[in-house]
Amino acid sequence: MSNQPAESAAPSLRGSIKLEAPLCTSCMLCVRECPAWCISLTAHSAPDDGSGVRRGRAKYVLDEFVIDYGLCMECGICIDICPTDALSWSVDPTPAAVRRSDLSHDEC
Amino acid sequence: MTDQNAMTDNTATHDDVQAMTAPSTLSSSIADWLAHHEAARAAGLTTLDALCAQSLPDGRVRLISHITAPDASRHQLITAEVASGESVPSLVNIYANAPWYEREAAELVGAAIANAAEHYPLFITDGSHPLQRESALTRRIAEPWPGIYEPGESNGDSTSRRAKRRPKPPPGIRPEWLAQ
Repeated sequence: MSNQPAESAAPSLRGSIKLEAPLCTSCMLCVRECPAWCISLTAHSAPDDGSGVRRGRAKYVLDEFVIDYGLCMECGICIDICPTDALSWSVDPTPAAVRRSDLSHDEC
Repeated sequence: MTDQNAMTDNTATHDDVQAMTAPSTLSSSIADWLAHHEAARAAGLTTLDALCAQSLPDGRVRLISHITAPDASRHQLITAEVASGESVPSLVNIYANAPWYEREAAELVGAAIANAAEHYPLFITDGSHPLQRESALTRRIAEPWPGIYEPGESNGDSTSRRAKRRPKPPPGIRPEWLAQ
């Protein structure tokens, strides 16, 4: 791991934004706090048949989590506000694209 | 946290980063705007890295210049606040690249900088100043806010919206814009 860029990256580095999809609860907080309106999220509800304390209740299953890097200004508010730490900075650079529509990335 | 640790530890806080990177700030008046930049250039800060403008709630505009030494070993911010009706002289005779930033500040925020408005417009041709606090963001009013949906709803399906709580207003839109 010593050759990974993360080891030598400055703490102020802001690359792209990474989503740990299993941690996301589709609470919409990042979508609503984003000052650039660059996140869109779709989810559907499904019965939670797991063995956790919420057994038998509905949970939200993430379908799509799209960040439009044409609008994102990398302020990091979504990462700060995420209650489950599903969002984090990635050392991967912000994606570049030839077409405007290719700047929207589904993080799921 | 030392600089060495902060460079290898990605858990550095915002304060750590600020302590490492924040330059000293010199508050200037409009009358001293040129004199402070001349003094800074004479002291070796010969590069104008950026000049920004910020629209303040009381209608004034704050100008912020970031000047550095050529090897980036030292840097400094100089700020000045411009009231409406006042004008700031251009830094073009001190930093040759200043006019581009000054034109950006004049167009986007409406900063009154001498000579900045005499050139052709950079990107805004209708004379508006979109980063001024008073200007309505028409694109935002026209576009649907992605945060309007509750969890479990999808774009295009807002019929099942549960109005249990008062909806949060979209950020960046003032109620008076919608009333227009």
